Amino acid sequence: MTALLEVNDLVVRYPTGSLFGRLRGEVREVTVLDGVSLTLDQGETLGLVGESGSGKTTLGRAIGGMTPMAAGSITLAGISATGRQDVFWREMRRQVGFMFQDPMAALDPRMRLAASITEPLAVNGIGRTERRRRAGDLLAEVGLSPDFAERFPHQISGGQARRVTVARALSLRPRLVIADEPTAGLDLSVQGELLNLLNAIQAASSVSFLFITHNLAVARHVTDRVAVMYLGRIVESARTADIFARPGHPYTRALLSAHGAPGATPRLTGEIPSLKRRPQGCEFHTRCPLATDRCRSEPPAEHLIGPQHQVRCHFPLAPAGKASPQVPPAHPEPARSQP
Amino acid sequence: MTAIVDLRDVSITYAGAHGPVPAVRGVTLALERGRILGLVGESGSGKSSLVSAMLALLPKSASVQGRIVLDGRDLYSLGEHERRALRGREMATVSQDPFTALNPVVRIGTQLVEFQHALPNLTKPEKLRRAGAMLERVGIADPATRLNQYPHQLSGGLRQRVAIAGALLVSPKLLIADEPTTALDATTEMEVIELIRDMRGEVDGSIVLVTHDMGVVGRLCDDVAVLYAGELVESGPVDDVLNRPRHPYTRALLACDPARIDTPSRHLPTVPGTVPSPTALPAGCIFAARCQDVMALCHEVKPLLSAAGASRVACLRVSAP
Repeated sequence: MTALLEVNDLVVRYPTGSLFGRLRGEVREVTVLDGVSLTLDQGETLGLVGESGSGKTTLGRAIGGMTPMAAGSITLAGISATGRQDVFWREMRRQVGFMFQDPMAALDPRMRLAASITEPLAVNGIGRTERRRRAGDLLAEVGLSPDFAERFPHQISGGQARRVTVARALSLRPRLVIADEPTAGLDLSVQGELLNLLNAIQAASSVSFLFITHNLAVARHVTDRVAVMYLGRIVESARTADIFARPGHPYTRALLSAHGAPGATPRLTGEIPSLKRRPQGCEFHTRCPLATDRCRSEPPAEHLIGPQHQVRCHFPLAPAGKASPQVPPAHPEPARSQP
Repeated sequence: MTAIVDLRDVSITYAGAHGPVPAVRGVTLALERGRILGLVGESGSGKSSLVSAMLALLPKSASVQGRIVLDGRDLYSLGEHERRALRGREMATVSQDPFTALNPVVRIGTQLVEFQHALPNLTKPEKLRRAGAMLERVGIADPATRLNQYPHQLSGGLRQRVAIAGALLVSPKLLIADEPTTALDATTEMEVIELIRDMRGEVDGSIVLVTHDMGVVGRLCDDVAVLYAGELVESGPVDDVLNRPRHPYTRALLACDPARIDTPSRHLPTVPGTVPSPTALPAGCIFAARCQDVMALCHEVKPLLSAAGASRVACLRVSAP
């Protein structure tokens, strides 16, 4: 089975430094994503978890072509893109629906909901009558009555606004929906309703979801696989059940224990370092309770510690009470993108 | 036991464009000295209105009925001047958003000195010294440097520590923390929860934690009060309310929490139906329309809070089974 989405060694850099510096021709960049690779199958849900500043949102935006990539490639439904100017981006974007973090900010306050929902159709040259008909269909699909079409964003609740953004994300019948914190700020029962809606849509259309969240309790229920991000890298990825039962990376363990998962776990101290001053060696060593001299000098390669279970750590944790298995690296450390 | 804050039959009504909106109705609740109360409820349940009423910070369009007694004084029989004197002296808050709670263009030290405006007998250098000492107590390394910095130079977790330090500087009788961890990452959230737990001795009264996160309630609070659509439906010790919930709403709400569901499931439980509008309230129980255990009587008779074990519950099935 070929993957719907394949991201290979994606690097994203943002310009930084002062305006004067840039005018003087100084080039200063901060590397936000540093060699991210992932795959996603049709009908699968991949959870992207990590603290703020770990690069989750940037990765989602890069996959949708909204953030230029510095290196690497993205292949979606057989179409590949390697740079911003790529002519394939327009075709690729049709395959991707977006649910942005703040639904109220994502909806134009002066546009009626029907117009917001069908704007992607207008961009793709679909006529007014057809758009109106589709708006009704889409509203029904997300469980809203047809009279929502004529309302404005300030006339609906937060939960309803989420449903409207779901409708808009689905308007072009994408094969992939990138949902950035889709339930942040929702009440528990409304959160459940929205997650059930997303699940029903996936069951009916086998759309794939990239589910960006920092809520591990939600990720545990609604994702098939989870990728854990730290400082712009994926440090661990595995099937959801494995991540929760046998986390291999000390960072994943710390995240799980912060969420109240049982079991004695190493405490995490300190804050996530600045991207401008990436630590040498393993980037997690400044907060890792198990760091050694090797961690402080040598970047770890990715290890396969179980089926589909990859960990970027010199000393992946074994299931509680057992010694670390000696598993050779899955593949050699990918070449750093820096010259 | 002595109650630091005693709410007696408190109702809060806002003047709306289409008539009065009774946002909170008949809440009776006592906050005991030395305890942490979790105030939980979904959006629109009246938590923020209730907390604003305790701080006497409601907008002019709101009116308060009933009595709110802070350490023996009826808040709403005091004049505005006396009430104002209580804020920042006996009452302090830690807000949801550490990014907006601090003034971005004023140094941390200056702000922490200003927080102590209600302590007239201290000189400025003394206040600054107290501020530095408090920063150290809340676990901030190198407080001297921090005092000279601006809020944007601090991470979210550090800013929330500064806000907590500021609130504790006046040794308040009532500390209200409104969703203090919502804007923080899980790892930072745990640190802030532990900090509040460690610092609870600094509050010579009680702490109210407003939240919708049951996990935070379980880890930090002694008591819980559950609000639904402006009414108190259940209150009691944390262990009783979270582990043996008696009100059907509390049970439904806890059942919805993904963190409390052991077996992963794609289909998550929800509470069917919607919260009644405060302008179109049902005659009987406020939760009857969504209740799993509803009886015919529930639509006609309004349940009163009555004792059930160590808790108080407003449900006919509990009071008159």
